[in-house]
Amino acid sequence: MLNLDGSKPIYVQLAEWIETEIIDGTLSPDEKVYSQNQLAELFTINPATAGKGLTLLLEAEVIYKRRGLGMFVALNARAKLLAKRKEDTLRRLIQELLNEAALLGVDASHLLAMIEAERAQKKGE
Amino acid sequence: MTVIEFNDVTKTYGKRIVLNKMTFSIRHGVLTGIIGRNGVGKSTVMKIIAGHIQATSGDIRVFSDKPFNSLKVSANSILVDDTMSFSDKLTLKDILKEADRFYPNWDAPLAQRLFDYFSFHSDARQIDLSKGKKSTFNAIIGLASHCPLTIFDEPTTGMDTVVRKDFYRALLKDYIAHPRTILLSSHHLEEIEDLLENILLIHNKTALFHGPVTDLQEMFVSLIGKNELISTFIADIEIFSSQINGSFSEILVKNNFTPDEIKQLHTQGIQLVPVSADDAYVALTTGTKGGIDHVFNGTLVN
Amino acid sequence: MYLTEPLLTDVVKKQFLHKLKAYTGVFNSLLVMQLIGIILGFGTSSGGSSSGGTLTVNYSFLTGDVPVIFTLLWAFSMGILVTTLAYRNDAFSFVSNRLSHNISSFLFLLFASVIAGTLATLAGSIIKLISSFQSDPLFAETSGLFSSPADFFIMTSTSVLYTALFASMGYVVGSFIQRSKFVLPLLIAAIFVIPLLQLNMRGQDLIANSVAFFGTETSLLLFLLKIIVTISILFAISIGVTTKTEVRK
Repeated sequence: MLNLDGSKPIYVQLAEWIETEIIDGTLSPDEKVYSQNQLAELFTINPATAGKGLTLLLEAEVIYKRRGLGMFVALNARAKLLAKRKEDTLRRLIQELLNEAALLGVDASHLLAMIEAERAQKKGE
Repeated sequence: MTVIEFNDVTKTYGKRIVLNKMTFSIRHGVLTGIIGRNGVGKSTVMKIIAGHIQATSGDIRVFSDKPFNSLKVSANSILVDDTMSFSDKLTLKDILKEADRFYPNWDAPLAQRLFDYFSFHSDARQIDLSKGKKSTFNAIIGLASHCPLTIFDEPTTGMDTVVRKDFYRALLKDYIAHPRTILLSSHHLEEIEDLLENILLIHNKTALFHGPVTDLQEMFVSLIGKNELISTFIADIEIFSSQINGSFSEILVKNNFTPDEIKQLHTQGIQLVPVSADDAYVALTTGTKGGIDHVFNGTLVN
Repeated sequence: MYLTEPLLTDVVKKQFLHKLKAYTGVFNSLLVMQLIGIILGFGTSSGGSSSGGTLTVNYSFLTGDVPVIFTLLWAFSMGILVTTLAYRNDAFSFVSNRLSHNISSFLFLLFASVIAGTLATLAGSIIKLISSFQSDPLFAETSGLFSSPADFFIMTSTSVLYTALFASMGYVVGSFIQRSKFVLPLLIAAIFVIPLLQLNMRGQDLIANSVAFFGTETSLLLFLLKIIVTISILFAISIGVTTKTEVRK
């Protein structure tokens, strides 16, 4: 659920929560997404804030709107989200790695060598 | 459609100015939080809107009428606060029946269900209720009246934590089921900020901020990083509050960084964390004094 | 958005019915006042005896006016009571404006006056009735309900009208008190000052004149007219005085 006093605005958390539902298959393509009011009730937040979360997904084309019917999961939503998460998560981990390496005085070639060694060991297992 | 309009509204009590040329307007169907330090005139604004008291000068419109002495405003609005009183000759049950006669949108089944849920006794009288129970009873009337303009001024005074949570949840569910203009004041912004769409922040006798809660939240950002990193960073920046936890510092600053600057901060190992509306509100109203920690540690902020 | 467009008459009707339920305490105090009036009424007989030759006539006058006097006192204080802040705040917890609150309070006072005035006359009759059992009188009751219904009707009407007049006086005094906190001390001062002033103004006795204005009227219709006009003026003043009062401050 949402971490309401966490490190991200609620509507971003809300959008990410729906993204997770899509990634883990709870919501499948062309399935109806929770309405603004359902989300508001579910998380005890203002419907306008819930609407902002949905707008984020709409703008990212993860969901689409059918007039009078509501919001639905886009066909390629899961693939799109997986790509985005990979990008985000890996990039964040690499950044942390680089920061730590800088702190410990490990230069780039040494780091790459370490990564290669780790990969080789993993292959050999 | 605009429900409430304040134009240069001033209210004085004797020589004391409570509101000074306050101007704002509230759209139909918005749940707005009226926020401010104690004694800034939140209640005054609400009582003027309800037509209970009169402004000293300025123009006020509620449903396009001047609220003072307007039957239309009275019939279409309700103000729930600690001055909401009923004759001690009436039992709680009688009061609900009377409310039913006065308010055309009265939701009797809802009133009854809430009445039972909060374990009220039909034969009790308002005067016998504890402070928290009285607040709860008044809140039931405020909710069940389904008035196009519903005003709650510190409705949770005296309620315990469980009842407060129940009330806010009931308020939100009822608002979703019956959208209407709602004003809600509290000096515990952190308790209600998720419920609100807009915030009207009263400070220095006027409206300091009026807009979406998310806009208030995004006015500021918190920077967290190692003490030495933060202290080199703060030389040329306005700091609204600061806190030191061990070797880490957290400072609250204006959220006006460019994407490049954000990237740079990240590579330096400084985290950017969104702030709550409550933190933003405190920052806006206390200015750059640096908060209570500054009193104990004058080195970080000067 | 659907808005209610309330009519003044509808709101007044609702408020009047509400006040009938909410102000029942008013009637409890009425009963107490009239009981005191009845008890004190027994002590007010005056009389004497006259004898001529072998015949001695013992007579005593007994007035049924004491309960009426107590009722008037009650009416005056009720008039003040319903203008107080607590009563106004109660009204503004539901739909109300100052005019509708004033009209419905006033209608309530008139309604209470009818009950109180009628009960006061009946209470007077009770005093006479009980007294007649104590002695063995030849002529007991004048203008009683059964001995002369027409007189009784006039007595009751007069009593009701006086009650309404006193309630209205209380209401206007209460309205002034609500308007400004300086009114009450002024009023108390006036009670002492006016009689002093009148000592210096021969033939200009304000109180005596106003008492005579109502008290010496012999036509019920004219009396009714005088009362209605006076009450209307008092009511209009009350509305004027309280039209800007703030509530639930």
